Amino acid sequence: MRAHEPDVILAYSLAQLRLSLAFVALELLDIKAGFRPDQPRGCDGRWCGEGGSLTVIRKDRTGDPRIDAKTDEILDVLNEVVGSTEPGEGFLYGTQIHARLAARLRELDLPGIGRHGVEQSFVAGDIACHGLSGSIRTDVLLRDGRTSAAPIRAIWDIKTGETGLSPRRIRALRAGAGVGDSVPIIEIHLLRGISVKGRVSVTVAIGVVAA
Amino acid sequence: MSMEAYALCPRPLAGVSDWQTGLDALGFDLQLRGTAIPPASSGHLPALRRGRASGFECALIPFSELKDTYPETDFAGSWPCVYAFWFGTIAESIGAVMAITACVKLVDGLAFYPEEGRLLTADQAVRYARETVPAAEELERQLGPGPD
Repeated sequence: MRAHEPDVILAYSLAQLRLSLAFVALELLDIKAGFRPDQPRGCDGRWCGEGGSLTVIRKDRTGDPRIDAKTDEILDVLNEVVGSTEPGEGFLYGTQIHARLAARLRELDLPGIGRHGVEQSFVAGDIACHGLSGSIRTDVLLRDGRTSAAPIRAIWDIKTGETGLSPRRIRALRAGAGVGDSVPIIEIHLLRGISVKGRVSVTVAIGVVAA
Repeated sequence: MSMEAYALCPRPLAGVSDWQTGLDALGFDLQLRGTAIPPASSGHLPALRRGRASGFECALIPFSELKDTYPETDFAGSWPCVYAFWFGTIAESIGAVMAITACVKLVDGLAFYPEEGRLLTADQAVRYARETVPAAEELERQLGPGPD
């Protein structure tokens, strides 16, 4: 029996390791799902109060793994912002979500986006001061590096409503940022849900947009 | 981050001074700082409110484009002049609501806020602005003014 003792100890250690890994995986799933233990639940066990988490109802992909991964990161941040905001709808709710999301994205300083990639103003392809007459502003943009000279890879437009960007607006954003039709404009729509849980959809415009 | 709203007008505004007169008549504390308005200009239209930037993007768009974008909305007729507004920060939102209200009040147009699906007459738009602006200002106090 004593000869088998090291095997037993090893098996025990492995089982302990597997259990720890399972807990870590569970924690990661909770984070991904936006689960918060302190969020109140109703008598039926459903989340109630506060913003809840988002349900993704549509997620178009660009096919570029770096851009698509960044979309997922932005969705995670939007999920966090919605979860920490009192539920609502309409103009003031939209204003609040936009302000909080911009502030949070700046705070996170995400690689390729940074602080300046959030609500960056442009005039005819050149970076402009916020509020400059005639400037166009993008919501979020990804660059191929941390400097403002690095090429723009993608532009995100965050909407608190179902309606998409018009072809004119897409052209204006591209012209403002000085990028061609190959740079995708990715729309993230936070939609009104019938429950406390929000819904979100992602659509992508690539190439020439017909008028 | 960008939200949008529209002013549907039977005629264009004459210029910055015309628009400013409308803002002043309603008692809105917003000073337009641009030298031209759409269609002579497009993009950001600078404005100041309490000494802080409160401008917004504004452009003239064809009515057909608005109808195509919102096919389920009845815009109560055809409108020869549609001003589109885009705004993101709370300060910009306040500026845009004031400017849209003054615009539709001046020319007896309609204000369209797609976030809420609201199509408002000029008088309704004034009431809406008088309710919404103080609430947005309170939000601004809670969250901070945002970037300049």
